[in-house]
Amino acid sequence: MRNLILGLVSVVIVGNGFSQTVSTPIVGFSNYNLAAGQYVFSPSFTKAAVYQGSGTVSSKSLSVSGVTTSSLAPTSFSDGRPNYPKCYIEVLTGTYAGVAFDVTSVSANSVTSSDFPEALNGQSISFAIRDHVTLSDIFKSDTGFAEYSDVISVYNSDGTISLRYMAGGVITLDDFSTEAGHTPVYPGTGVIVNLGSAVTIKTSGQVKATITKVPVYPGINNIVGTMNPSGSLRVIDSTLGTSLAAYADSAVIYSNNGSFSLGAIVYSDGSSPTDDNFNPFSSSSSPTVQNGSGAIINVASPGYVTLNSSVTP
Amino acid sequence: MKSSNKQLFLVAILLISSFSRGWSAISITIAGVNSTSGQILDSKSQVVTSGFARVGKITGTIDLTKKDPTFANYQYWDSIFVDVNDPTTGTGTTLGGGGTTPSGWNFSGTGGLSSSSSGIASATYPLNTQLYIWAFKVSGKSLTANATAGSSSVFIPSLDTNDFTAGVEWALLTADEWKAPADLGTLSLTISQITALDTVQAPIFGSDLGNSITMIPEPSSGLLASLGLALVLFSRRRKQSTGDKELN
Repeated sequence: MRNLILGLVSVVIVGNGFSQTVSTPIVGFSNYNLAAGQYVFSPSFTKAAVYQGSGTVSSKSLSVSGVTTSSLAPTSFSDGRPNYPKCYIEVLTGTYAGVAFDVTSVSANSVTSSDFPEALNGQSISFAIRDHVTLSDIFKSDTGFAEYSDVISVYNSDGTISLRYMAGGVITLDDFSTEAGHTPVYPGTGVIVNLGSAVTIKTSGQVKATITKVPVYPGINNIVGTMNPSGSLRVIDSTLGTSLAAYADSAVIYSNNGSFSLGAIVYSDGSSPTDDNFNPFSSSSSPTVQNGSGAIINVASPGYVTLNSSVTP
Repeated sequence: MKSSNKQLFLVAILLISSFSRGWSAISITIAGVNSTSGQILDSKSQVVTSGFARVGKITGTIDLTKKDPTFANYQYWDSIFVDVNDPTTGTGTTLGGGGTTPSGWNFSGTGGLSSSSSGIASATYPLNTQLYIWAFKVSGKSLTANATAGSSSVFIPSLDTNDFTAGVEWALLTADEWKAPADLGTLSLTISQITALDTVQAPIFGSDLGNSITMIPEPSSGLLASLGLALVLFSRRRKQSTGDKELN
């Protein structure tokens, strides 16, 4: 189903009596050959950080220096296209480590996210700013999508569904004319695609070296991937046992062959992931989530599902 | 824990679990906006600028003798057509899908149909349920858009005898690809997918013009057209006969 090449670039710098190893982030690409049918699709890569630093959150803002304002713009769209943020702040330390917050405004020396919780105010954190991975990054014109027919379903956090099509070589709304390729796919989340015939999806980017916390909401279908481009993820190796509320929340894994038949329903006993009889999975009985796929998670109250990094930072 | 208490605990857990397992819904899009995606045209192959499209499943006999847009035939099809955006639940003769009603299912000024209904109960439209578009060219009637699935109001207009007296054209369409997707999925009903190669009866009523479809005219128009054609033929025949006589 996929090809994957990962590259870790290490350079040894030798100077006056000492040596230092400098590592660049791991990058790679994955190709997914999907037959006709229905799939959960979740990209496993992120984009490179355009800024990384640390600071204290004040009035939902963080100080930055050396950032070109235009590199984070626009923070909104007002040309008739849907209004989506271009960048997000990824918190790297503290209680909210792994959570992504949209950049909602930017100035020469600060970035603001109106989504920052009050609890973050006054906290000193390390953070990175990245561009969102968008639908047009994933579903390019050479993907083989059937225009007006194959469809991408984006499940929003408010319970609505945004449908996106390929028309005239670009991603559009379901009016088939308004461009919407800038629709973000938040880190660790995914979409559902319905395909009339086979396509090849080619993704590339950085392998995330830090944890990802995906917010999940009650009353809706939350699509959560693996952020693991190096292979499939066994449920017993995931954090579902502690991310799901015991005996209440569930994660549904569908088959990844286009039939979208039910593969497994995962619950938690409070510490370990279990089957639907609440028996913990063993290494031999554990379901797996394929690279590029994900699970549909239903929860009783808001929270986060934590995705561990597939690499050691 | 006492045995009875333990049983209650397990029942409670199972109830919670089944409640939180999933929110079952599908979405349906109509794609009929141009010559590429195909369009539904009127009986004279002109774009339709007034009217709407209904989407649903058929729960009765597909009676091909009831193809003409008459009020009696309308009542027949209406009684067996279950709309994906019909919010009727519980007490109606049919239980609809309860999905949203998009304004794009009314014909646009350029004759296009687009947009999507979401939140359609997948239990009403299980995987591979055959779906149909029932499109109307009619004046003064349109779908009322709503943004909330399961809303209690009715958003699908009823046609009456006055509409049919004024003249209604319709098409009832389906295609091999028009089968309900799995739970959480979306299906696009693309008009250009209707071809002569379909194994289902496609279209049910309407003429296939390559990518696009033309509607069935009202019977009176059809009758007048037939009479007109007969008169032309009769006239030609009579002229030919007269000519023959003159030659003699």
